[in-house]
Amino acid sequence: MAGEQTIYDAVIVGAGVSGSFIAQALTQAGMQCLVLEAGKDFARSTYPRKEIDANSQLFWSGGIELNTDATIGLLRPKVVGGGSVVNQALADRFDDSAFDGWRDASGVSSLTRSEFEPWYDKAEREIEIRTVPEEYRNGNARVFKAGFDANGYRSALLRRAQGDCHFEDGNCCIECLAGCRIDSKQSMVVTTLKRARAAGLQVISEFEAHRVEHANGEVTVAGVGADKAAASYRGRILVLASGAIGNSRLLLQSGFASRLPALGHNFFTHPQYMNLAVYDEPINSHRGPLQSYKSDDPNFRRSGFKLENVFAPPVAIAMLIPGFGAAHLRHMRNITHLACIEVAVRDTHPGRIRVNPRGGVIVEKKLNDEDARRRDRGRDAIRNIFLATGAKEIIEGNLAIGLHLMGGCNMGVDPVRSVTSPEYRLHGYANIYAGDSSVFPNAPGINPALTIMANSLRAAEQILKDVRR
Amino acid sequence: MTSTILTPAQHSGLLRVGDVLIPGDRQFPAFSRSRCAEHVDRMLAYMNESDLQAIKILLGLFRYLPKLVLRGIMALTDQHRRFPDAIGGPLRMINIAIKGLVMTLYYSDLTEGVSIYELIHWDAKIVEREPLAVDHAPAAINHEPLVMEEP
Repeated sequence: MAGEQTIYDAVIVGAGVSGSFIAQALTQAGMQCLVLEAGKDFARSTYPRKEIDANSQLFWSGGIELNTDATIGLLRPKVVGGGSVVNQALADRFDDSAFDGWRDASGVSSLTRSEFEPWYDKAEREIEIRTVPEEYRNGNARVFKAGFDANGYRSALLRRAQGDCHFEDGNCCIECLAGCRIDSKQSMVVTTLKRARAAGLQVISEFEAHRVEHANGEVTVAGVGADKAAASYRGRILVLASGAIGNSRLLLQSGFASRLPALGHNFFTHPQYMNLAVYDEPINSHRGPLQSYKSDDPNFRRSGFKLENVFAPPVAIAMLIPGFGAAHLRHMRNITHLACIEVAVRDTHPGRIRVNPRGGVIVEKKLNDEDARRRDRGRDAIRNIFLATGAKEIIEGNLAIGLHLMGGCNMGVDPVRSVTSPEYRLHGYANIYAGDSSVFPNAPGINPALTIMANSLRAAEQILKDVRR
Repeated sequence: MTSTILTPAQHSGLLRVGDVLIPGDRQFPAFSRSRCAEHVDRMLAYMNESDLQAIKILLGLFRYLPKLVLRGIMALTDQHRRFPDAIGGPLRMINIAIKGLVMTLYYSDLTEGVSIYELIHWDAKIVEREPLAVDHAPAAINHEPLVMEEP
């Protein structure tokens, strides 16, 4: 087996949001770190341009993975920079309800908004966050706002992790779902990871980790590299940062379930349903900023859902529109006349991640009656919004999209019911850490990206404390 | 046929089911006539082996089915919600797999002779200005080093 004799201070599996934030913190503190990432290392000039290539090359399994009953399509980024390359760059802090839910589920008393505020502040100093100026909000945003106002619903501007998108040039953020070609989106590639590399971080891309071995105070990560050759890397500590499915899969394949019985359990996705409406006049939802508004309605929050004004490229819209043939083509012909609002469910019913004998991921995840009620309440509100703004036809999306993949290595005080300790160490392992979305105790109902950043900074501080002890 | 992953029969099955899903009209080319299927390896090369094998079996079967039957199968998969999960689940999987393959090829604007993007008035763009002068990431906004103080 090929590999290196170097023993790194830290081996980090996953170059997404969490891995990059932790890598920056540890590297800047003087630790010799290696990041292993299964995806490719793109730059703004090399991101795929066609939707077919973006789906194939930036996500696991050629674009989409399905749960066991094919009701949820899971989009799992596979690229250096992770979700920050392909997401819609939303940057919200959690509210008290989210942290209350976390404390209730985990028994970890330190999961409070006041504890996290300084970490949010630190995270926000690492990226630029803006809202979309009124003059650039597009037709889809205007439908959203007008419909909210007509129904007395409360909305707010989305905070987006972006620099200057030069909307005056006619730039369309929907193009940047396959990686931002003007480096405005504050992905890890152009922020934390870049600074970590400048400080000495080593990144190996296109390396798929298959097994973790833990012995004699060291950790070895074995896998297959871009050349299809087996290789392994050693570290004094291991940081798991490949997300809910990635971390669970790696640990399950490595036999950790015998000591961590909750491994792979407590999996949440914020199932998102995109709903389309047809208007007589062009809406041009694809132009300009992709998203400007979100729901900010206390009734919605209490009811367990949120709404966002979103859109998607043609292939994704074609998949959302039911049917085929002439009827399907009629809608695609008028794609510029479509508005879209998404309902994201704060799911209460946990799923489970398993691994089959060939190493394939199996995701068991269903909506229970309460989750279905939350979805339906959101759809009712969307219908009200569309009808109040003159929609001629409403098309309800039936395939849930899972973009926020959380849990599987949930944090908690009980080693039987949780995987990760309040100190971000796997229960029973002094030098294996996780601080990404896999440690979420349950679904917060809020976009997780900024909290993953804050949580990862908090985890990095814990690692540095432990290392210096 | 330029695929190195599909057999000629499987490729033919793709064209047949593609034409059921996208028969085209006076303005839009039918799936097969658009020649977008020549790019199918750009998708298939990244699929899981188990997913790929299942798709190849379906496409091989589709090669020999009359179009009327193909249309009936796709219509049935579109009605997946009417069935209990034991039947509805596999129908959904077939629907997502086949529709995903066909729609991805057609609506990625790979067609020859005519641009699907132009036909649907899809004009999303990014204007790439001159490359940034700096090689390294600029200091973050109010960036402070993350080095922790010694305890």
